[in-house]
Amino acid sequence: MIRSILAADLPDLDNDRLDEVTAFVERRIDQLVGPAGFGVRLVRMLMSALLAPPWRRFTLPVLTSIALPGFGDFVRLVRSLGYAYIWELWPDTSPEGAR
Amino acid sequence: MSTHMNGPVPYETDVVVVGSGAGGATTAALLAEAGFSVVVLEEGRWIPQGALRPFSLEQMTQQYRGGGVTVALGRPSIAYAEGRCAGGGTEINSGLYIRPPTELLHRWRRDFHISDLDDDEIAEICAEVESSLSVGFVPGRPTAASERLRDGAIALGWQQNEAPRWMTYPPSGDATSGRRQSMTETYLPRGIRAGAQLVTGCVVDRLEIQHGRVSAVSYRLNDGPVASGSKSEPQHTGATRTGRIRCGAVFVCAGAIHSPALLQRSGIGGPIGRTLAFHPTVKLAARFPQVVNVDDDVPVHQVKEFSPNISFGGSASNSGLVALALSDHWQVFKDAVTDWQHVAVYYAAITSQGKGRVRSIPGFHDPLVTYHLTGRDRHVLRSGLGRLGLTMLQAGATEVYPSFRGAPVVRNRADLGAMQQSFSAMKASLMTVHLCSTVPLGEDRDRCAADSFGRIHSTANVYVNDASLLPTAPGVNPQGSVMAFAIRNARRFIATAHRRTARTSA
Repeated sequence: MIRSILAADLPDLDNDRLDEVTAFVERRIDQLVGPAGFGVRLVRMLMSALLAPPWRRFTLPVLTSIALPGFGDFVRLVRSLGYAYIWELWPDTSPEGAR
Repeated sequence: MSTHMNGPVPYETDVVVVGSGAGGATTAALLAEAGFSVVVLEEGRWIPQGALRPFSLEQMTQQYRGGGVTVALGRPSIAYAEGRCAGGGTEINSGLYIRPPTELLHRWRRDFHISDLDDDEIAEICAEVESSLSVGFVPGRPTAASERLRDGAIALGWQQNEAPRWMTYPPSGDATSGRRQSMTETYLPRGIRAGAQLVTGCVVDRLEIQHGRVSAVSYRLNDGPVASGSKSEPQHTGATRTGRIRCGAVFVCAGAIHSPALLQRSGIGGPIGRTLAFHPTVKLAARFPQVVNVDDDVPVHQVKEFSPNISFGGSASNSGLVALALSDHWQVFKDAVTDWQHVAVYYAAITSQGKGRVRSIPGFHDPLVTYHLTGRDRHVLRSGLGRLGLTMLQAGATEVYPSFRGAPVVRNRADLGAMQQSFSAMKASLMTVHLCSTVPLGEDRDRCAADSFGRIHSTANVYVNDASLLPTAPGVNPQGSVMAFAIRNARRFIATAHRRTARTSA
């Protein structure tokens, strides 16, 4: 699900980099502390269900463009971590994700 | 090394200090030098200055709590950063130093009934701290990003200044060649030389308190070797073991979030954790014709024209953080990322009238943190962002990218008006770093959990000595205020203990 959010934003990001940044974001979310971390992981579970393959093409544009409470914050968190990782490690990456 | 100590964790000591940041390190050094046996328990690890690139993801992984992802929930939620390492926040902050303003001390003394808060004593302590930390101005020219902020303010006729830093510089060094004089470089080694034991990798679970007196501290320790790499989080590979240290007194210096949480977990009541204060901050990225980006340092200039309500300054701006600043409206802002060397990130920080809470929740070590902005705060954030944007345009920025969802690119004054119209705090990526006021000090027991020198009112020997004590958010970088109060309170503890000993002997 995190992978699909980043892939939609950065269509030219190749699979190796996409795998690496997705793993990084997943690890950071797993490390979030306290009740807030618990809440974020709960939202991740709900997002995963909503972005499951059968209906992803309908739900992804909605969830990533409309700031629904909780879901909007989660998308912002994924983008923040993902973009920071990509452009810190590979600063020459194009805005669409190409090397 | 994960543990810096002179042998095994002792079973007994005069004083336990929980936390090793600006409050804990100074407390430990002064008490050890006064002859007390002192054990400092620090949850994070000892990472020497220079081992990690400042403001990088790796530094966040290794030295920030939660990898740098911690949040005060609310509408909107506000991200905050805390150090979790030997030296605490002093290892990761901007290194800017500002004395507590005299008028602020007067207001605190009056409104919170703080006894014996003497301006001259605080000024003397500040002078001593400034000498210990080598506080001074950068040699030569400041960075280009800093000069842009300064020039924008000058063009508008607004008050600006260069904040001094606690750094040392090589003889022919420039503004970017400083070495931070953080706690791992100054007060922690001083305390260790005087006999204090620092135990890292040690999580304090609770204080054992009976009839208002703490008798011991319960902890979990994992001091096994640490496996880590640039892409993975550090993991202790040893087994965690539990233990307790009997002690005569405890100084809780775990920061404005974890100090109140520990007191709450230990069953201490009173106004603890109810008045979290900080400086909510909104950001923008500004693009200039010339190269302005310095990827491992922050600007030293601040705009104080609207202080204490609003202050402007510069943020860390490496390529990853520039991308992050552009992420709120990526589809419109994204082209700027290819020009990141010409882009720097700036902030507008406000003095908030809102309040937050820290609540310890059973089953979680970390507490629930919430914060609520007032209507006035939202208005001031909008105003601050607009004025910061204007400063950037005056400084020569060709494009400004505010950090809120749906923000427009700002290229001129007309765009600024449209930007302010479309701003709302709910859409903004708000953050903060200056957390304080969760255990305010003073003699007003309805509002203050600690007395005028940091002792928790309902206890005989539990003290708090960190940013939690500051009665309100100071409106300036708070490390100078934290250290001044910590040293003042530690000296009072030493004097009182010696008087008690003398009476007993007599």
